Amino acid sequence: MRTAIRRALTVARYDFRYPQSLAMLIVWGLLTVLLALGMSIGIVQISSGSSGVGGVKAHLTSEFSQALQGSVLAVMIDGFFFAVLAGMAVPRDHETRMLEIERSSGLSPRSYVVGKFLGATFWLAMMLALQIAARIFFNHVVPNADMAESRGPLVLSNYIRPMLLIVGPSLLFTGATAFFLGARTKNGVLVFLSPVFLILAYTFLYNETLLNRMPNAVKQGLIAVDPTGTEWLNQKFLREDRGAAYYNTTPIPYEPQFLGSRALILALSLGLVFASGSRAMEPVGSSRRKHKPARIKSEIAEVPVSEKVEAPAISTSLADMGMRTRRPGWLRYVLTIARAESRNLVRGPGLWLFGVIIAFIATVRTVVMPGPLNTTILVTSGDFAAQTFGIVTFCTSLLALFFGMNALERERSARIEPFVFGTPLPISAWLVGKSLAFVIVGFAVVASVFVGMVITILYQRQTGIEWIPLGIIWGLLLLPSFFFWSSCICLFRAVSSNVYAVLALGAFALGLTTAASIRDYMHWANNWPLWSTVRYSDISRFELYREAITANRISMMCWGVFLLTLASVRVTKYTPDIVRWRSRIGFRSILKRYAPAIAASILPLVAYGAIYQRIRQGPEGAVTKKADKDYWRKNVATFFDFKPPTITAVDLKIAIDPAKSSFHADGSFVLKNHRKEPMDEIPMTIGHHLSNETWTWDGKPIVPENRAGLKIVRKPDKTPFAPGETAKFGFIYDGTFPKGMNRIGTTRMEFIVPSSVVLTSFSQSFLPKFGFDENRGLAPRDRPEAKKYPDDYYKKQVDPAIGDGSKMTTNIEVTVPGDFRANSVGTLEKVIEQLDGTKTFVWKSDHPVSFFNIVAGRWTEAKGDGVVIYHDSRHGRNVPEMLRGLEAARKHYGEWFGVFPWKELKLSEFAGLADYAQGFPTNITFSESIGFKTLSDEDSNTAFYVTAHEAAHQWWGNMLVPGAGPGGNVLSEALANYSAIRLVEKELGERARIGLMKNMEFRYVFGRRGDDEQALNKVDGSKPTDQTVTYERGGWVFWMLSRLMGVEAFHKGLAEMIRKYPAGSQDAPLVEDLLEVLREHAPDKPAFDRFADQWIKGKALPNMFLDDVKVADGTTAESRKVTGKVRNDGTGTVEVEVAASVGRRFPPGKSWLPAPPEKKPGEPYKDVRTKVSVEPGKSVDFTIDTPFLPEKVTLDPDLNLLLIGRDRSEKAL
Amino acid sequence: MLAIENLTKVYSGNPPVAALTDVNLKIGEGMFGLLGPNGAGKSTLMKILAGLLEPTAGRVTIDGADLADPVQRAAHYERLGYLPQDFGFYGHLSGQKMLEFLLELKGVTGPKGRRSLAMELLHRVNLAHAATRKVREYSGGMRQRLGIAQAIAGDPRLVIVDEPTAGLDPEERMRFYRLLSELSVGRIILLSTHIVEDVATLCPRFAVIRKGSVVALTTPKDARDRIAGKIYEGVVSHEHLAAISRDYHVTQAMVFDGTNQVRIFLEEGEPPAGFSSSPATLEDAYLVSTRFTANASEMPVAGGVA
Repeated sequence: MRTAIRRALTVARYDFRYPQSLAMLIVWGLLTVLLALGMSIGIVQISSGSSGVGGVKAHLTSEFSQALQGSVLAVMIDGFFFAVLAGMAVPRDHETRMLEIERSSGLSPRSYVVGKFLGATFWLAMMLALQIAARIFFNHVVPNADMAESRGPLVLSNYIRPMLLIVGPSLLFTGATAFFLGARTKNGVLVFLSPVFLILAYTFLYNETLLNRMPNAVKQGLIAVDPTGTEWLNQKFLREDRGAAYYNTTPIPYEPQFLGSRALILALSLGLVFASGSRAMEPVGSSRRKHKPARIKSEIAEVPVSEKVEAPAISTSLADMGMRTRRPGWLRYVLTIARAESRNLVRGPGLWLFGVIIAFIATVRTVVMPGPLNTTILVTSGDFAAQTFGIVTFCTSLLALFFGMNALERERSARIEPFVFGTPLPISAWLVGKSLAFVIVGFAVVASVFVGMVITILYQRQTGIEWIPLGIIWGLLLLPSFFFWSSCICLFRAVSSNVYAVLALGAFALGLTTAASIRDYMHWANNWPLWSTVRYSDISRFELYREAITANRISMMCWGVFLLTLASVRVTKYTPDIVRWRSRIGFRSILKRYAPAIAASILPLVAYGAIYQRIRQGPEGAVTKKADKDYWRKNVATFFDFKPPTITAVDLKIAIDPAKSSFHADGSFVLKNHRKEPMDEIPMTIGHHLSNETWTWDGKPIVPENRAGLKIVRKPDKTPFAPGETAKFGFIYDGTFPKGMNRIGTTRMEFIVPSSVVLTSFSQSFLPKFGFDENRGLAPRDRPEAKKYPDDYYKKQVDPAIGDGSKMTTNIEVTVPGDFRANSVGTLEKVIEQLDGTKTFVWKSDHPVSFFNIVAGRWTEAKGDGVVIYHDSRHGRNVPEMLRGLEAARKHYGEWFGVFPWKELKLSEFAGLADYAQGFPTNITFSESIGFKTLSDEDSNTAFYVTAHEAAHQWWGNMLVPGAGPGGNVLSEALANYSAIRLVEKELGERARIGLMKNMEFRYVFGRRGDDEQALNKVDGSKPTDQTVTYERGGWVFWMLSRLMGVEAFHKGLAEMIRKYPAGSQDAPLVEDLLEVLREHAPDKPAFDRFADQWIKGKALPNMFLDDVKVADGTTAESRKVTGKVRNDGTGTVEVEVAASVGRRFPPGKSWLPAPPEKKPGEPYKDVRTKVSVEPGKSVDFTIDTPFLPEKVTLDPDLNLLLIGRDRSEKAL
Repeated sequence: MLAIENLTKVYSGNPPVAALTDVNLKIGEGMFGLLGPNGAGKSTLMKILAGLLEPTAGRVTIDGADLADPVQRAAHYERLGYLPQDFGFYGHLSGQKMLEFLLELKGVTGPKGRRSLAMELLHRVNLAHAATRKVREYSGGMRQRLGIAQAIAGDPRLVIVDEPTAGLDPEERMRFYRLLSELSVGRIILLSTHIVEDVATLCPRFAVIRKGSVVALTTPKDARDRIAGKIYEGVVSHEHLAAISRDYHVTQAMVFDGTNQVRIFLEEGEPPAGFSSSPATLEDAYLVSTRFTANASEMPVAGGVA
């Protein structure tokens, strides 16, 4: 035993002292230090704390933060390097034929594997120690000044405990898995791929959405066995924000169960190491199966004895064979190498195994990953290809790196190099051929993902396979990425012939790309994998960024050629002499040698420069940024508080040429000075994309002063625009929108593209806006703190949040190509067919509006009762639901909140270049991606819900325009959500309402940030968490309030609100104005006040638990007595229902995930309920007598109380 | 004509090692042997001649084409048949497929196509019966024969074979000798070996290389004649072997049937007791040249074309 340990330690010592690749360890160490620096500036932070200046911030130095940072690094860096180091220990000995010698030395397999793994583990310990030291150094010795608020005192245990209890075991598990694979198979590629597989499997299994769709027991089981330990941390402490103060001061309370699971992971790791011992020292393919000697004997007897083959008589000479030699062409060589190499690559099971895994993960993630509003999306070929683009590129890059590394070493390792290089084969053809083979690897993975897509599409049975989008995305767009990366691998090989150095360089390059992508350093000139840019729309196939994407792809092909040329210069089959090489070093010789590479660099450099210059000149480029900054600095002091005149009428003729993304506008505003003060000058902001502008004032030409981009309008006679005076402001200009190249292909709210048009009066996309745009030129970091509003702010006169406070009439004539239809607000007066084939749609407001839009496309029409939907002919599947929603909204909202004042309500689809819908008066714009391509079931009907929400904006946003102040947007968005909930309940039933509210609660509970949260009467959009508070919490709170007041009284109050604050009111309402109105209708005013104080003026959020739930025999044989406690660890005194029930309340839905089997199939649902009132921090007993055998107890079974802890609100009995 | 002028190769390292020092050779058509002990620099010279390794100094030309020139070197590969000392194959390919791949790289084809030619070549090296077997299942000798098959393919002007008979049984060795002899007509065949018998059988001329320098350039007959009458053979007891080894140039000492049979090289003087004159073999000449000769001048060196 002692000898075995001594021998194991000897093996470990030698592996530690003489590591297989110093280069890899150096890169690992460097990355560790660099990432420690990155962590110190907050690249990984707990999402908690206040975003305001001086607010409590989550410390980077807390144990929670350190655990999170360590876990991220473990996944990104340490796991990978350690897996390679440990995993390659045995295969390396196998390759160098050392195994046989070591085995013959008497070293036992167990000592051998333990020693090998220990040697790698020593290095891991070194790296983790370095990591801790570097993090302490950057956090406490040379701290970053910008992160001062996010740093706490130095507590050594904050660094060490997570490393030992969370990071260490997970790394050992990763390493042990790789070690096991390496020892068993001696296959390097499997070793390299094992950490990738573990990461993929981890991110797949522990995906939030997937976890939430699993039965609770499975979910808890998965969390318990999580090898990384981070899901426990996430679910227990981070998922529901506990506030920065908690994270900053509390050590992680490691529970015994968690420590047990860590011990289990360690034991499993050791088990893997020991298990690898039995085969580690044996040749690949050897079998340990015991054979019966008799059987072996009989088997041997059947094998014929090898006989010497008699040499054939040769009667002809070599010359008679007629051999001809003709040097193949370069391309022929490329194809020969590519064919041979791709055969080599696809021959092994690794590629297919991982191809299938990648396909599986990419497919399930795409299907499971929620679309907008947490919905299940419909899989179409284009969307699937676009959504898997990132994961396919990343995984394939890793695969190509591992396989490429081997492939480029193949000739050397197979010792066939002298044969291959002793032929006329040009080295460039060899490299290009290899590179081509790696591209084939990429497409083999794509083929696997394609199979996944086909299965999904067949399963959903909603769409067919569309080859054109697949060809574009998986063909034209992917090919340059594959080629570029393959060229990179060849260059890495050219730089270093050490496989580990190649691996380190590749990992570094991929890491750098990922970091650049996360940190927003990517743009069209350098985004080689096209990450975060590939967005598919059925309506507009890559029309928006076509120029940028084309330029990017061509440039990446050029870069690929350059890198390959450079690699060809570096790699030579004629091994250079080092002495001669030294003597040759000189500018001219280097120039001569690298001349081909220099020549090949011209095209990509030119392409880079051209793209970069286009970006620089584009809407997000330095030139525009500088102009915007000048605009802001020059004018903020003068015009920040300027109140522009109101627009009372709009007359616009706009000719849109979608093919050129251009338009020509000719129109006028009727302006009125509704202020008490005269206006000497009127600032006007116009878009950078306008040209050939002509301006008139009451028909007379004027030339506004250009003050750093802000146009200063003065009357022609230079007199002030007097109070009450009106004038006609005319304008003519051309525009291209969008104009120029942006940095990267993000979503776009408004656009003119060849197949779709969306323009709104909110921005300066097609109209000038009077006033100073306070957001133009303001860098995010310079943004001032949110305004502090006094409690009685709502009592003052408040400007409207949307528009300029005016009610205007509109006469909008939109000319579009003949196959287009253009919609705007109001009613369609006529359609004029022009001689040039275009059509002009004349829209007039039949009732005044506050703002307007234009949307155009090639549509099919679906008409309902007073409503109509214009949609792409391919997107008709959800149209009946949407039409139903629109009809129901018009009917019921009209009954509940007041009559719809316009003649028609229409909904127009636009290309899915952004995920949103907007409820303009009479004309709702709706992205193809938000409702047209979602899947609905009994618990979720997004198409209906979004339609109902946007239709509600006709009342909440158009008929009532909220004020620009705290709680203003609540009147628009929260009431639209409330209206939608009520409509869903009425039309789709209780189940759909519960599903919708559960979804909203989920988004709120996991989207909020406790320290940053403001009460509903304070939210003003200044905090990141304001949106979910406004939308989700707001919708929920109004639902609860309607139940408190009674629906009828609540709706009466809302209707009165619209009557009291109609659009165009000079004093726009805030949420507290609503409270004043509603209070008048509240039957129980003290209860109303308590509710308002707690939920609207306060931030109440109960955190509910069901404790000590027991069931006892009742008075009869069938009856039972259920007892338990309801605990509220959150805030707010709340009344909550508790139900004891049997049977399934709702039948299984159409969800793609199979429902868990019922214990008693067919048992009808029955429940008995009770109500308890629970104060914060208190626990209340409950008792329920049931006349049946109850199966479970449910807290708030009808979802009538917004709370934290919905997933623990049910207890099985 | 293969001309090697002042060829020197130094491997960098700590300390640097001179593998070849000022080697000069001119080799015409036919078989030429390069004989030398392990580590003498033979394989380095072969790699340089194959155009795979750049020399530190000196020049190599083949029919006037300078291997230092990339264009001329590229043309050189087309006319090269090379069987290195240490080589391998893709184990997962069959012998036939492997050969086809290499023929494709060489651009060699036959009247009935490449596949047919590959089979013919395998037939030549007595591997036709194993054409479809995976190379990883080949024995050492079979692999060597597959290497030979690819080296003789095409119409190479220069064939370089480095230790080609290692691993071949006598029958296959003879077969290979025949192949090489056949090839040598109108071609330059360079046979590098430490097996004297190979040279004795095949090469009308050969060079002996030692410590990176050519110490002899001669013919087998001249080499034998040079030491004729200076080789003595006798039986020595174990006790006396050390003394004999100290006092005489022992070329060979073998234990045979329990006794030490010793051959010594004695230029002048009387042989030890019990030793008698023995006919000189080429092996004696080689051993004398590599062990007991200070420089090339002590061995007959044929000037000009070998």
